[in-house]
Amino acid sequence: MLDQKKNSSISSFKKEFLHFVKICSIFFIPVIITYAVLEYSVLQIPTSYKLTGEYLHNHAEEVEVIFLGSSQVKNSINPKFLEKKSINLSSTSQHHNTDFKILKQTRDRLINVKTVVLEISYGHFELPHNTKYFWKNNLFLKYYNVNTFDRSTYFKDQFIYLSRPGFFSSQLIQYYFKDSKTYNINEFGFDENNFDGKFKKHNYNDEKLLKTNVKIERKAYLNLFEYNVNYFYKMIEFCKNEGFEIVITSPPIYKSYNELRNPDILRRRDSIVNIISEKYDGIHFFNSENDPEIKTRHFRNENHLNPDGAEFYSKKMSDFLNSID
Amino acid sequence: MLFNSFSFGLFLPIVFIVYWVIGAKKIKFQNLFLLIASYFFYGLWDWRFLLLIVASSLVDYIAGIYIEKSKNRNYKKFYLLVSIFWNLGVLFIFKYFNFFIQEFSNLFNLNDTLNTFSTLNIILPVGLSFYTFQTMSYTLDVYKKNIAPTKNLLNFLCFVSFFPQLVAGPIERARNLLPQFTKERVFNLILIKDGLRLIIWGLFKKIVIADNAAIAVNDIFSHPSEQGSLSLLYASILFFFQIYCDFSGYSDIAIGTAKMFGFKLSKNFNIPYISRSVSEFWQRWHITLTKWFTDYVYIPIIKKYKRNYIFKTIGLFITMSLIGLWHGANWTFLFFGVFQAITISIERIPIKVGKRSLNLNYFLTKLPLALTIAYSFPLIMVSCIIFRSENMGMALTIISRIVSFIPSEPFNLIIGGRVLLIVLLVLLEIFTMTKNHPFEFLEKRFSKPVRWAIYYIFIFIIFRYAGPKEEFIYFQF
Repeated sequence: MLDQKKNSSISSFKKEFLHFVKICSIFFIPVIITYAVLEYSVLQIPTSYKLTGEYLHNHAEEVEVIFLGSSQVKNSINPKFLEKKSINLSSTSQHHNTDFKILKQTRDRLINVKTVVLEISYGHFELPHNTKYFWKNNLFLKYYNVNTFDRSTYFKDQFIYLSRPGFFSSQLIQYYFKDSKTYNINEFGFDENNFDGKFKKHNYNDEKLLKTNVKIERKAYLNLFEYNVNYFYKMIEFCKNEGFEIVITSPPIYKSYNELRNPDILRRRDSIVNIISEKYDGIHFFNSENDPEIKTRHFRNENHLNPDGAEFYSKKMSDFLNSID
Repeated sequence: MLFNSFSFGLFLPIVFIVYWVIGAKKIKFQNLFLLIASYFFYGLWDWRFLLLIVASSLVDYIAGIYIEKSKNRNYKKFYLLVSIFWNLGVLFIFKYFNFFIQEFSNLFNLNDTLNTFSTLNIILPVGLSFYTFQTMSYTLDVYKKNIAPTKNLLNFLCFVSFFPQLVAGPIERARNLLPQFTKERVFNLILIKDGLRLIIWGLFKKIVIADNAAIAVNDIFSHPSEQGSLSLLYASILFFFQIYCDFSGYSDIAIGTAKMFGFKLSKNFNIPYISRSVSEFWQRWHITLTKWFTDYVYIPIIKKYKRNYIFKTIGLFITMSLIGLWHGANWTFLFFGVFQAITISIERIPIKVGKRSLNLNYFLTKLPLALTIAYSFPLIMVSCIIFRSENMGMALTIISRIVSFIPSEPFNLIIGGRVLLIVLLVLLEIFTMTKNHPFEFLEKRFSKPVRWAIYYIFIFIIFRYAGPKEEFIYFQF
């Protein structure tokens, strides 16, 4: 009798459990299929990362110069205008720790690299490094085959849409439903249509632009300074050991941004630049923060160039790179 | 492992299936499996801190047994003190040691103190404040004879490390959670479905509301001295919703997950923004923490003088200051607690009306809700500003700029139309306030296809409007 009762309760549990699994499957299968469609669609968008990754894959052995850094480098270097075969592996919000991982993990592919261009912009030493949750880690893994996660990876880390669903949803809408022509990214991964911004909106009129608010980090983070500086030294040591020429750059910025910089942050940054120049031989500096040849029409916003500015600046950079041979 | 991560999306169904396949009749195996899963869940952050959880569990488990065994009251007290010293000691070392050394050095202007008493280069273990309070309540309850100590080590280890609530609560009492590990769990489809709904609702709050609000809050509060009144006010309101949705979203997922395993966890939030007073706010916000401090700190202080306003106020100041400090080692948290104590004590000032002794709280209950919210919400905002600020200087800057009516030109929502999602949240919560969560409302009102359509819409919103991935704020506490 007891056994019978037990058996019937087990079979009713089994029945309910299987029913639940069935219902869950029916509910979640459309979600999974929709996700697969979204992931596939995102992969078809010719993003800068995708095209840079393809360039890295197809031309690795020809590349002589690597550019690393944040959006300021991303927006100011169009490798199309550089005489030496170059690859721009910088991206928005990318900090030195990510630069270093990319540099180290692409070393065995970029076998003919002679020069590495690193960025030390105004706030670089007092901004936190990218965390292990940096959403671009998925992009670097997928497109550059570089692990910036600080851990071993698994299949989920290759998912692009999942790395930042909100952002990629907007990208999908923009690309498939609004205007795919706005995407004009060249084979080097540089967006040649990237003019839209504050400066274009104000018709490159200095008078108007000087009255607008400038977004700038003025707060000093001294607790980060020492760590970031030491980390940067490690990068330099690595480059030296690999026999690379090192160029340290700081791309152009607009005068209103220049004026608002925190003098203490600037002083500390410049003191490190001086130390580097004394400590290491043969490091080249290409500081264009106050370059008078860069005009208002070259900017997209206060600290980023537009494609015209990038063309101008890249040509100057090209001459500079040729001059250090 | 974060609740809003893909890893948890894999972990949960696997653990769920194995757990129920083991079978409700095999409680020991189910518990053992839960323990392994919980340690795995926690160990993914930093496996070294598992040792700390195990050590804390063992200390309190043994202390509980010896408190009961001891015939002599002094011995009982001794074992209780061992447990309390251990728990508070761990908390002090990991959470407060550096703060006190730093402040001691600043206070006496001892520049070389940091060399004499070096600070510790240690990180705060995730969820430390939550599980130490949970285990401490166990020994306190055993000492007070509110509960009998458990002899079952496995159950006790499960009670301390139960993964849904391990890292950010709700802070469960042993008398509520521990017996659930001894009872047979029933595979209840209704509860499991409700758990899943609660998880979707919690994810919506965390990923859509909290993470999007964080964008604007971080942007505006990063340079408060350059912002106008409207921007700062906007950021303060958004911060309230950020922290509310972050923490209550976590609690919802925790409660929902526990339901799927046949466990019932305590409610931790109850629409706090409709509180009529600050006193009521604390009955609706982080309810399990408020209850913990009420039972183990406030009531023991005022026990003998329950009717004395002065004693009650002293007790209140001590309790609220400790609640403030529980959040972290910073003066802002202490001031946050003190500010709560000041407002609550004002609300409790006895006012003689004829023969009756009333207080502001009484009058607030008689007024229309909208009017009382107009009183309580600004006070909650001030608390949020203190809580969010890096130091008191920053808090004062924000508050003074808000009340100075400095123009915000140009005022920018930063997150655009996504602000409307907060309105949606408020409307849904208020409209379904009699339910545990808004989705519970759907069950009896709508047919299955409509319900499913609504769930799909929310899943779509979660993906479409997901903010940048932020860690749960309360993990740092």
